Amino acid sequence: MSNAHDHHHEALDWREWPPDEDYGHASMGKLGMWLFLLSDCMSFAGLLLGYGMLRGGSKLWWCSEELFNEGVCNVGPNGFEPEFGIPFTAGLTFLLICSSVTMVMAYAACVEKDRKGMLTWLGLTSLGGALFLVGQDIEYFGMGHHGNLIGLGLVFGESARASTFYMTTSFHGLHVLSGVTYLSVMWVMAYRGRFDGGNYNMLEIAGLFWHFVDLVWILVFTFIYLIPEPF
Amino acid sequence: MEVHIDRKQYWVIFVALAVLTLIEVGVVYLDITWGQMVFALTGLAVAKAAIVGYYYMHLGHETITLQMTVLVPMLVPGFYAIVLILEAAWRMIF
Repeated sequence: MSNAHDHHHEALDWREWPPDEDYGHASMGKLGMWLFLLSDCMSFAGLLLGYGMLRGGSKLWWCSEELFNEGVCNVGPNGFEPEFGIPFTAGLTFLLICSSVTMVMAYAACVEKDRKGMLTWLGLTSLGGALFLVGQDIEYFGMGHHGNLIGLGLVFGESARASTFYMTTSFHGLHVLSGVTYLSVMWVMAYRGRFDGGNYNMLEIAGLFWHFVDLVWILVFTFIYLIPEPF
Repeated sequence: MEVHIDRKQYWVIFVALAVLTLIEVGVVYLDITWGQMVFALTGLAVAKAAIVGYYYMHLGHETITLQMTVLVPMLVPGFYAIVLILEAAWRMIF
């Protein structure tokens, strides 16, 4: 019975599958994740294209304090909207880049059957994602002298700039939260020895999701935060 | 089954991404035209995204079929954006 059970597991080991003519050694799980990421990519593309169309079609995109004082516009509870904190958000971007390299190091440790290394790198990846969420919370609601976009007058529903900003960044934040949860589950599975023996397929699939979250942020950071008003 | 692990390359990519991010932030403060800035920032973002996809997501080690399965649909929104920009420019000019 035991031998039959073991044999059954061996037969299901994706590493033993013959390579597919078109997709090589890519497992079903990996192909499934890629297809999910493609559909998710379309969701972000819709948000970013909508943002681009609204911004490109508007006569005045950002009612700054300067324009408010000149009497050009009046938006939100304060009459004007704050600028985005580029240095702070660049720090969050760097944090996600750090978490991407720790993710591939976790994958490498898994392939090399180094459970301790895998747990360390995976834990650091989850920590990076959690810190990113803390940073996003500070950006929205403030802490000390940092952030507090809402308090400074960037309120959802008050302008297209505010609404597209919160829709896109919070949708991404939801992905980071999902990623941290996903990676935490992977950490527990790794701790229990599920990936011992170099079975890296599930960890590689989780890594695909995490790197996608990083990839999307690269685009969000550029198009939402960095591209200034025409001058 | 061969698995590609190159720790040195992973760290090189990490440094490259960090440097490109610094350049991106620096570009915002450069004294250049708005069009040049948008072109530079978009180029840098696409380069960073491509690096993440190719090296960290291991697309570079996948078959050409899987690479095309992923790349072609991902290029569609970019193509659509170009069409929208051209259409908007055409309306502004004429």
